[in-house]
Amino acid sequence: MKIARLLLKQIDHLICTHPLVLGSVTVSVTLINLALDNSNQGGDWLSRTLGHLAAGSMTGSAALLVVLLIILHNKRNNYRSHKPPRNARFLVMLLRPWKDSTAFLGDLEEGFHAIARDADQGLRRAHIWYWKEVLLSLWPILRRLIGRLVRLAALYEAFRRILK
Amino acid sequence: MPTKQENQHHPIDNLGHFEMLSLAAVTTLGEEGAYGLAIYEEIKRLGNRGITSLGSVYTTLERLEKKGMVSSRFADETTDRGGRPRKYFKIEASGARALKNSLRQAETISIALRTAEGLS
Repeated sequence: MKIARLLLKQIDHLICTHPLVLGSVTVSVTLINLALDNSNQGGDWLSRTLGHLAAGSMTGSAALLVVLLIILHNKRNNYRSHKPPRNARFLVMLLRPWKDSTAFLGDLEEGFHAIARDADQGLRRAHIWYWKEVLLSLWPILRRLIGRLVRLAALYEAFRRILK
Repeated sequence: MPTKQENQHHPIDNLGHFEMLSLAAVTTLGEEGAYGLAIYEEIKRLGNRGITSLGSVYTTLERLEKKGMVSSRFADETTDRGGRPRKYFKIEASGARALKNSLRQAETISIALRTAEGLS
């Protein structure tokens, strides 16, 4: 149990300190699929590549979901920190448009410190508030991303049927 | 009594509920106090305690800025914000006009409902 917890913490640390890891998951899965692809199957090269890209993106999204769950799991032990959650901050920097993310992150930090100073359970409440704001703010972006992936998969399926 | 010019509605003057609340919050806070977090708190105080977030406030204000209803400026960076500046918003003439029109519309609907249903 202790080893599993340590491993989860290491994965969390690796993914959050190296922003390119998530993108690499998507690209790697696409490339592996392409390399393992047997050209005997129907369809041309373009439609097969599109299909692999869709599969790669979906795996990337699944990886993102797993990362989110790991981060949320680890948060239980991190409520004592006087700094805003680093992982949440990273998610905002990754997914929100850069134009307003500086002011947005500043507001989140100001709110975090205000809540942390406020009550007995201040730090815990501040952490929960920070995560709630980040997840609510990112939900429309994530929903759009998932919608695009679903459309891409449907397009691939249509292509595949036409070319069959 | 509204003037003829005030009664003329421009297509972009149509405001959504959250846009109306955001403009109202920017107006009540004034030029020196209207930044993201303060606007968010003010919107909650004005009555919208449902599912809203700081991110949606920023998205709405960005949309209003594109329409020319508000303008923004960055202030100096501060230490309690991790060295990040505040973004202050200011209501513009078209924003004030749109807000007035929306409030007048809401008032007209309210009066009509009171007359029809006997609501008080």
